[in-house]
Amino acid sequence: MSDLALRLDGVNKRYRFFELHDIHLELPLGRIMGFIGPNGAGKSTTIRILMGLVHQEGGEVFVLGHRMPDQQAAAKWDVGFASEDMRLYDSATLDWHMRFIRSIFSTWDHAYAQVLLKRFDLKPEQRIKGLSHGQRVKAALLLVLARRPRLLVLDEPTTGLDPVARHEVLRELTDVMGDERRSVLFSSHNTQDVEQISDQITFIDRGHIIDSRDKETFMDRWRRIRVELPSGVQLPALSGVIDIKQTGRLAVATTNTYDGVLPRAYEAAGVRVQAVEHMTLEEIFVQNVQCSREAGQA
Amino acid sequence: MNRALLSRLILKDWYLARATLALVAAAGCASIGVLYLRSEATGFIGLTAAFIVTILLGVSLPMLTIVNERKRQNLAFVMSLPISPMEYTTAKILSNVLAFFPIWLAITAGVLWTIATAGSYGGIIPVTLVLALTPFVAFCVLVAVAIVLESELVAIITMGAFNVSYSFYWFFLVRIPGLQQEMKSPVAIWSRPILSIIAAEIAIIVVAVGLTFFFQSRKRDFV
Repeated sequence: MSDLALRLDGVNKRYRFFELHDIHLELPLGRIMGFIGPNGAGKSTTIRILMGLVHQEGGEVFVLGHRMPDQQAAAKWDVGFASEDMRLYDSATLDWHMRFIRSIFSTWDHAYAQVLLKRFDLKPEQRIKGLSHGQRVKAALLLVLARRPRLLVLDEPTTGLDPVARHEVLRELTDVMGDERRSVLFSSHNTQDVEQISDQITFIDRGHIIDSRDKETFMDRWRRIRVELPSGVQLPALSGVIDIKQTGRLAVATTNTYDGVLPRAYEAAGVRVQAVEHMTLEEIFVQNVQCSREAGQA
Repeated sequence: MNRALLSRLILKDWYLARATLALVAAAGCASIGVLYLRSEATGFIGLTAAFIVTILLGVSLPMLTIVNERKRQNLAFVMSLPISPMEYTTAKILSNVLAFFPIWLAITAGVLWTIATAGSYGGIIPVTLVLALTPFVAFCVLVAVAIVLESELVAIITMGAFNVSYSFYWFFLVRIPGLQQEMKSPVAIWSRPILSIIAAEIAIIVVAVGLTFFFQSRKRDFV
């Protein structure tokens, strides 16, 4: 049995105004991957391909060992999927939806569903059309989580939520992280949410995967080095520096391969190092996208 | 194909369309009741009402269970369940046909039985069956269009086109040589043109269902 929750290998999909290029992506079992990209980057298309809702034109897709889209019915027994544009039936109550899902999935955990109802402050007898956006998102997540699927695929689940609802959803997903048998693919353009719960990060932009690695590596290797240039000293071009912004005698160098050598190299060249700063995931993401786009234009 | 899951999906559609189904079934019973009063006026009103009821059922079911499901973004929820697109197609066709057919059959049988037991009106039975089949044909084509083309606009145009075509259809029927005479007969006359039209209507139903599966099997994007 594969030790991967999902694998995309050389996946392509072409639309009239958008193309997904040669997507390679792997999520080991028990890991949580944050899938970050700007709007229109290809996150939802990738996720729809994973769920068998959209068929790739090239490449291979495996979800929990099942080849997609051919074996999607078998795969989806163990996959919980919720997306921002997924709606429950307006005219039915949450209780009806819970009974409907329970009638299909023998893995439905009734006690956990009751806990989630309380945590999410949802009333089962309420019709979906009477729920706010946040309550609808939480209702959809309840239906997914109470099935206890082995793989959770969440497409922008926190988009449009107020801070309290976002916190409740993220807290629940954090609890899921405690279960090492469960894997999560979590797409968002909100890097704060992803940083909070993910242990692997993948950036996608304009239909290309531009970087994918574990979160600690991202946070450790991306640094901003603030330097001051004494008069007559030029900032040397050092390998590993991917961006330099200079204003007069002050400069900021960004690296994605930080290992402690760069500050010493600058000092050796007569440059005064003022600070070596960690970057937030959002800063890393923006820098990554900019570098990728500049490389694409070059 | 997972039969248990398929039946859950069918029951789900019936539950969500239960108010319409109950209303149409009640209206169908009422129209048969009016027809059973057996005067010329009630006969006309009952027949027209029964015809309208089956048209309404044939339109509202696909709109409720297929078009609205896509329009209201419920499709991703359904497709997140452990089903393939072909199972989804099967469930949609079965839920629609199994909801439509018994009500259509009950209304049609009620109308035909009332006519057959009314005395000397047997001659209008064949043409009544031809007319009764037209909403069934329209319903099957609308189901196919709604599933395959996934467009509310196209579904509405299809629906409108069928509604307009009913009067043209009647215009065409009464011009079939000899039919008006046959309708005045006290017993049903199953002439070759009538049987050909019935066969064509059944063929359209079969082709509509077959083409739905064919086009769905070639489709690459479902949401």
